[in-house]
Amino acid sequence: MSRNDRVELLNGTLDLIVLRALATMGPLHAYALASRLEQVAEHPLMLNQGTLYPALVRLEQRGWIKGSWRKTESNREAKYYSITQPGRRAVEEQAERWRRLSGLVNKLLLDES
Amino acid sequence: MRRFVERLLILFRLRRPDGEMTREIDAHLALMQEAYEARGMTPQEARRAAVLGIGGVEQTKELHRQARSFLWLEHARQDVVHGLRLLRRQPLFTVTAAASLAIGIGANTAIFSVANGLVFRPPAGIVDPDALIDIGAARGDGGLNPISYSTYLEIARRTTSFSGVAAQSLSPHVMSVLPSDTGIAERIVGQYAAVNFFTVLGSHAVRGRVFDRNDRRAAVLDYDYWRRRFNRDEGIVGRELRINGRAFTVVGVAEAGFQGTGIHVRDVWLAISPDDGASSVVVTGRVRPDVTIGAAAAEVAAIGDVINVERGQWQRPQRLSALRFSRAGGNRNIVIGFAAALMVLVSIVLVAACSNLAGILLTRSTARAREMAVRTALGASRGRLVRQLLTETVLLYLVGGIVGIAFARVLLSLVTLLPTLPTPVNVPLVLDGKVMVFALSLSLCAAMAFGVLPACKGARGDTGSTMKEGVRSSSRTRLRGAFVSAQIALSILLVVLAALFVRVLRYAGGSDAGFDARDVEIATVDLSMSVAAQSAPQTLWRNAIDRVRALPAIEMASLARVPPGGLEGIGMGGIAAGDRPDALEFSPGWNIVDTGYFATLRIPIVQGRDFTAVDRVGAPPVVIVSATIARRLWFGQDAIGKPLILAIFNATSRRMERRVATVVGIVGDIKSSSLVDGLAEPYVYLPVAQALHTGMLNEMSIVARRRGNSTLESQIGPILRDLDPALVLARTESLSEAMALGLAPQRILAAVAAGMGLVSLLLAAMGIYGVTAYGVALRRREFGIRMALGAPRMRVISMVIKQGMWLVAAGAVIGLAMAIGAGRVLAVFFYGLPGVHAPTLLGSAVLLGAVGAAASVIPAVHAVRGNWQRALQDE
Repeated sequence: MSRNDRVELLNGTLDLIVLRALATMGPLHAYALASRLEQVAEHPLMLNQGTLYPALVRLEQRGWIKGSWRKTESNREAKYYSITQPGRRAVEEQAERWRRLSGLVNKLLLDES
Repeated sequence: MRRFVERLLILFRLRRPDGEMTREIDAHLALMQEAYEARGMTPQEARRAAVLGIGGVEQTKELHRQARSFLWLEHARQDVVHGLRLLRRQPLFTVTAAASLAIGIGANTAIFSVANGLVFRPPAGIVDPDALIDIGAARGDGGLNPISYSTYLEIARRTTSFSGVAAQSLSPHVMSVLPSDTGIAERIVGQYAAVNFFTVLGSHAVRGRVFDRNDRRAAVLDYDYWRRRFNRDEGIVGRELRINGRAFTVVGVAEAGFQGTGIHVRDVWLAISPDDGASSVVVTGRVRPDVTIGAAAAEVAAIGDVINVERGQWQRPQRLSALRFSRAGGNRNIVIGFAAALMVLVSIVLVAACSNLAGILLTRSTARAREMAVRTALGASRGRLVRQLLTETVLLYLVGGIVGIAFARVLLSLVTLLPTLPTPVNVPLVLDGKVMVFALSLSLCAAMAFGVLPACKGARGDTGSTMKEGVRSSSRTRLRGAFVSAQIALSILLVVLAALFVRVLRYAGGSDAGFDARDVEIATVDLSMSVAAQSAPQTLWRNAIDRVRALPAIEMASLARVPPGGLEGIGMGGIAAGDRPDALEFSPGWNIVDTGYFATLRIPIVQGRDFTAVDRVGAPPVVIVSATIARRLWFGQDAIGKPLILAIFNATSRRMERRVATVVGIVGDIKSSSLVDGLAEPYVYLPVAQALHTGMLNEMSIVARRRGNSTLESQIGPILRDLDPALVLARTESLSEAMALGLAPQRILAAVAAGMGLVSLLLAAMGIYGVTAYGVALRRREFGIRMALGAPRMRVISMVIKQGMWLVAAGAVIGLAMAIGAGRVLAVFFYGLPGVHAPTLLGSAVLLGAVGAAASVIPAVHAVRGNWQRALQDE
């Protein structure tokens, strides 16, 4: 049970990050997304890039992102994901939720110390 | 929602996204590789770094799949596919396992579908059967007896809970119909019903109409009879039929398949006329929508109390009661109880089959320990392995359940072998949804109950050691032994039960019933078929029996109000010794017989004489009693010539009266009727010639001992027709058949217990064989060493057999204890059955011992015959 909770929390975070990246940077393929994540993160290889896929699948199944095959700049085939209208609404909701949650956690942590 | 549907679609492989996923991951790798190459890596290094960076290609795919689909369902699907493949690969195991389960599940299913047909499935053509309840006089066993027509009218008049209360005669009767075209009486089955019978049930007519309030002497034809006899004649409505000597007008034809409320089938429904007050009726009420069933039942009971008070001492008080409506009517609880008893019986064999299978699965899981160890090493969790093993087991049980349903069909076709009732019955025994659900959930429950333990044991295992050197798990062997012992115990229980039921049968209906039923035929004649014959019954009986006696095919013949061994002897009243003023009255069984009755049935006349032509109306009244009565009333004295007070109902004056008759003969005791108790019932016999006042001569049976194998129906029928054209034989049967009917429940119990006992013996033999053979395989090396050191072969054989016999002994002790307990319980229900019957118990234990020894001999011989040197080298 505890293991599940942990995964669920991480997934939720990852989902928001992916959505947010797609919303700000336009359509991206999985590798570009992973690279972007590594740029943002302080410890670049914390995450296997493969763990991105469950999040992509989940988001696509919810209808928040859409995948389509296109050519990259280097003329390779890759699946580009772009955010949908419901996805944009979800970003707002999720971001708001996240802000509240992290605010709460921060406040608690500050109070404790 | 969309996500859910997509996952489902993927699960059932309706979408194949694996290809696209592979393409996407390949693209990802390529891009990564490109990036690494751009940083100056060689293509190989870049490729490797890319794979590492993504975290493994297959792992990524698995993550992808997990996110895409319901993981547990996907696993379940894999397990099912894997399990089916395993079952297919081991056809012998699958077939024997499924067959042994199918017997238990099939037998349960067959019994359930009979109970379903009788109790749970409402009869066809009835609107909203849930609102109906059966009403009757409460009986000691929780059932209902029919009530008098006048009581029925009282209920119908007083009730406020019912929108309608319908009544019908107790059961259909064979009647005679005299068609105007042929003039030859035909035999039909008819039943009286109140005029609101059809409307209360909500059944309609396909031609004409059903009864209405003002109908007198009206008839509604059964659809099938109309089709068969009248060839769907559209002009039938309004036609007149002479039934039992009276004219009835056909008002309509009932819906096809309409069968009333019970199990009987009849050709024609006749409206009860208001002057038929005396007959007893079966009552069904339709509860108004705004009243609960419970409230309606309470009202019925209250009305019963009021009627009792109002009638005062005129009648014996009776308690009215109601049961949920079913085809079984007032016998609903008996049917359920009997079905439950049978189910318990066949469940024993199911449990035995499950134990057997659990044992085999344990052995198999031991053999598969290596597979499990490899899978554990590759990262399968224990829960996952348990689930896989359990899925395999569930599959096996479901196959067993499906075969069991097919087997149930076969068993149900055996129902036709049961003794037939006097009038035809029809209970549609269909394997409907309820039955299917029952069979499959039974399989699932059994799979869970008996599959979890072997699955858990099977999935456990010390990975390292198992992979290295195979298996030597003693806890599994012990568990396996426990399952085999359980099987032995259940087998003993079943064998003992079968033996007990056979004893009940033998005791009750067997060799010494006090009369000789062989070659005796019974032809029952009902004089209510003819108005003329009813007016002078004695004359008709005299003429009929004289002419029957003259038939060359008949050795001897007589008349009896009730033939022995069938249904109950008639109860007419009490008797007391006439020479003692303080004598207590008691109620014996009564019968009205003609001269030669005792000789025909070979009932010995112990003392005195049979009835003769001298015992006429006007002559001094005489009576013959059974030996028990003579002993009871005049112990140590000569009963012949003693006066006997008969307190019986006079049908002419319609009052109870006391008559005194002289005992002229004492005859041997016969065992009573329902034969369940097997006790000799005290019997009083009156001569036909002096019994007109009892009003019971309307229906009599010709009891005839025949020569050779000729059936009497074709010979007696014409005699009757000759005497009165309206008479047809109500039924003919051999006395043994009639007795079989009374013993049907015991016969079914004995047959089921015997069949199941046999199956469980087979299973026990399989179990012992399996466990011994497995034990031998495990100890091959030990035996090899023993024999290399010079142990005699016989000694090794006896070691192996001894191992098997320990299990038998353990099982036998438990089984005997259970059998003694079960015997005690049965002894309460079946009189004359000893709770503990040592020879039966001992015999069963010896039988199981023999089976056990036989089953372990083969593996034992195997143990010494094999090349033991090779066995030693193997390891």
